[in-house]
Amino acid sequence: MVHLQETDLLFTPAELEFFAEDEEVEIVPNFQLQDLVNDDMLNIAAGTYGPFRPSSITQVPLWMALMLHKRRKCRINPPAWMAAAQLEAVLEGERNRPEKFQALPFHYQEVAHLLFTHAKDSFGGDLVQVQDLVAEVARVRRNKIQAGLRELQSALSAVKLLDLGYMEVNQIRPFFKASLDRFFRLLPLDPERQEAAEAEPTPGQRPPPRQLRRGT
Amino acid sequence: MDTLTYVVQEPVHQVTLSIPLHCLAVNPAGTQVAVADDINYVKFYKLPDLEKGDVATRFTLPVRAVSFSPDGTKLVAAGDDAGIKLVNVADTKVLRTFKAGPYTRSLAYDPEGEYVASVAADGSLQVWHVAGKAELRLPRAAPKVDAASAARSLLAWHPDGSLLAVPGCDNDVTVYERLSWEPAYSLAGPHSARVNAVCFSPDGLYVVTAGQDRLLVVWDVAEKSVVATRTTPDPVSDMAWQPEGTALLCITESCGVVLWTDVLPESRQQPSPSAGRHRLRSEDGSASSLLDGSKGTDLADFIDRDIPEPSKPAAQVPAGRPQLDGQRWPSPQGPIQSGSTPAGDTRRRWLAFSLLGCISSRMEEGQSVVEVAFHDAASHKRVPLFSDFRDFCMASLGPKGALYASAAAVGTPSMLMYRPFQSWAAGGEWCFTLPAAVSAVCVAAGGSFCAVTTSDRLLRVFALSGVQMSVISLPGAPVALAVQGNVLAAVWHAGLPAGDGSQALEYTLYEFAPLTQAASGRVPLGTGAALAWLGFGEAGELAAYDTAAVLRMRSGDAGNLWVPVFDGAACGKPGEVYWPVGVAGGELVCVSCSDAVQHPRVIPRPALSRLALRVPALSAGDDAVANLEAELLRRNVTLSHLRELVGGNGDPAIDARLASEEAEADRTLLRLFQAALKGEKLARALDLATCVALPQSLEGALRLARHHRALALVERLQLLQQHSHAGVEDDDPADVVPMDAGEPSIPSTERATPPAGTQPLSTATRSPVRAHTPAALLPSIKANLFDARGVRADEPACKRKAPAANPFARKPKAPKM
Repeated sequence: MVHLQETDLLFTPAELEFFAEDEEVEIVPNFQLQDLVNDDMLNIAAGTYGPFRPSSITQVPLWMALMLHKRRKCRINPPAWMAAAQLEAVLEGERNRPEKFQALPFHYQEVAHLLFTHAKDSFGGDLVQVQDLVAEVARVRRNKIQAGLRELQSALSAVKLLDLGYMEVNQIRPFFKASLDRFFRLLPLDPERQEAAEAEPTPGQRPPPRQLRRGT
Repeated sequence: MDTLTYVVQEPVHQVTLSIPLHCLAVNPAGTQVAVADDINYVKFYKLPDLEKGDVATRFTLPVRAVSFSPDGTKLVAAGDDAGIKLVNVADTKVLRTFKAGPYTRSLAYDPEGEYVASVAADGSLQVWHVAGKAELRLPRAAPKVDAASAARSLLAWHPDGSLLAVPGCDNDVTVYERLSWEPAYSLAGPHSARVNAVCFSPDGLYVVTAGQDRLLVVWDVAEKSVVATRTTPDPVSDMAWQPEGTALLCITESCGVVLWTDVLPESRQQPSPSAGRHRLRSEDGSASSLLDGSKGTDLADFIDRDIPEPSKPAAQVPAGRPQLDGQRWPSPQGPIQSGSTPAGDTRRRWLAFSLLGCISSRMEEGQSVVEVAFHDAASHKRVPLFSDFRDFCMASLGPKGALYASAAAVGTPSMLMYRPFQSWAAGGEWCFTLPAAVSAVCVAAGGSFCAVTTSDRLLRVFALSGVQMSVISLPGAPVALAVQGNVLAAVWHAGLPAGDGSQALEYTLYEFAPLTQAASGRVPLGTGAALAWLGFGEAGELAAYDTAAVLRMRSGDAGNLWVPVFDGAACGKPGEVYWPVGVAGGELVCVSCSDAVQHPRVIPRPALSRLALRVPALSAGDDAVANLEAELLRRNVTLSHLRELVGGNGDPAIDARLASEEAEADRTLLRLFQAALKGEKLARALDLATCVALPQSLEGALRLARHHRALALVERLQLLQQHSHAGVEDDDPADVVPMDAGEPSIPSTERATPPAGTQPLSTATRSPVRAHTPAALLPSIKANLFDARGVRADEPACKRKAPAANPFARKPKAPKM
């Protein structure tokens, strides 16, 4: 695959991480939010979060979780998909089913990177294992994407890339777009295509655009 | 190919499965067998169909011995690999690896489930506490055998766990005593070669030894004399008694099977259930594991056991009280320390876990490390870790310090230690040694004092500085202890449990200082249930959680009234077990655990879940109303407790708390009132209105009734209000009483229910009223209200349909003070 400069990408990985910070994670605060009016809830512009009570699980955006964690105000419970057993199952699925991508959160790489960088202690003794598994899953998926793109060498075939993460989409987007453009430009030069096009009663008319599937 | 054959004599049932295997063990319940196969996996097979189960664990070298714990929840397995693995059967997790050397030849799990004994090929005998510590390491205790040979050096526990028989070096069997681990005696004589296997009869009266000299010898354990001998064609590698103890099944090293019937001579009394002195494990003592002679040989292995007859007591019943008429009576429950988890499963355990924080203990080499952590890290300073050389097994976390205690053991007395978190004076820590043979049973630390109950039925109370404030004799064996504020609750056995297993417990509430006994009475428990947790609610109500997952709270009403406020079976999800931590804000704070592991692990630290308390109120079709009534009933528990407190002292904090609780209760009452109005149930509405505590709430009720055009109700409510006002205007309630013509006069100080004539009025929602509120006069005027006086009996209840608009929409907090 071509090596891309960061400037080629639509978003830099840092920007994607910024988007991913809105994902919600579970935290276990070790403080009590003394707000009797709002029942220990936190009312901010981004929404209402809480209740914040010691040792009770609550859901907050990742940015808030990391901020509280930095101030040693909470423990972050890693998301369920980051459990070692779950990741092993995902890896197994990725390897055994080359035609399909396993369902992972849209921002899985960003969330994993943020947690591995700023909240290492959330994983306890599993840190190295989970880190390796996430890296391995990402590597296997990247290989699959490349294998899928290689199939595009013949202009007729299509490649189905469902359940991709944002980071993965972002990485292949410039190359993907550029190569499709190139294919489109080369299309008239293909002799078979030309014959087929001449056989058509209205050569200038293109088939109606294909309905794009809305991502889930 | 080896075959695993499962034979049950009656009805004839035989399943054969061909798997190569090294050794096996049947769990005590007879529901599964653990098999070590030729690829060094230990696998479970379900009985009786030998259906394949989970893989318990795996080794790299052959597995030589497997053994189930007496309760069947754990499995130990070892072999030529170094280390003995302790596996949790439910989730096949390796709980611990005992640091044994390689070439373990045999394993035996102690019938009491505390120890595991192992013999290695080099002849060393080791006894491990299941918590991981090596209790005994004796090199050259057993004969040294070739690691590649089929020799086993099979050891055995006496069925009551008091003795451990191990093949000795001089063609004998050495019998070790439990706990002291000293050789008690040795059985020597008939054998001319080393002993290969030892097996106690199920009743514990006899022991059979099998030697390399092909001799089987049956000994009388008490007399240490030979009872019978027999020669087998080949050396025996394992054997098992028939459950009745009359026949012996042996397997030899060349794969032969020997069945020896009528083992004992005629003159000997046949060991039978009626003669058994130590018949603790019933028929399962003989669930046998038979080992093949050597690796790779073809032979049939047998598991021979009878189907337990239904008339026999279940095998899992723990050693109980002496048998009466063949029936086993339930035993009194052991003491509980609220918020502690049992030792044994892992190296870490919780010593205490409360709403304030938690104390954990971590086993390390020869000592344990105790860690104190607060849930709210901001409110307390960090408490440093400390190394514990005294084996503290119970602790209690108070707001100012933690109290620790150790149990008495052989040679070490029970110790008691208090460590304050911070102190203005140096040397705030204090320590007491209890008299020999007396052990601390429960501890509790509070904000102004701490307490300990001991096995000699004493309740000792100490000031936080260590001054001994009082020593009180408890009427029964102590079970639990809890402290909040200046109140101490002690629970003790009032008698033997009932036949269905329900524990007979009583509690006493003490107040300090000065020391007074505030209340005493029976602790209600579910059928067959024992106490699992004891604590206090937020306002200081005593709360008890039983093993049937029901939380009850003591309401101050009429002395000893317990209300079930939470039912785990009804409120919870299936497969979840709640491990209570505390009660706060109308919620049970607990840790949800799975059925398999009924208490939380230390790592990862458990998160607390909050489950709403709900009194099991009945629903008459409308769940919303039933929920409101349940909430009201729960609030009444706290209210009546607070009213009791207000009667006792004039603490302004309690007054403020009572006022806010009353406002909350009134809010719920008014919602019920409105629901009753909407449903045109005016009698119900009036009854609810009489229960409100605050005049503002009555005003709100009147406004609601006017809005709904319920004139008959309005008239009665006005009458009610007049009486209330009259009570406010003249403080002397005696002036009010004459107003009730023909009614018996009731002193306002009496907070009891109204006279019998007015009794049947919605007792479910009646709230006991405060002595100094106008509502205290209600009982005396109530009879008038429900008379037809002043209102025509045939008057239509609702003259006009009420408009749909809700007056509370404009004034959402009408009843708020």
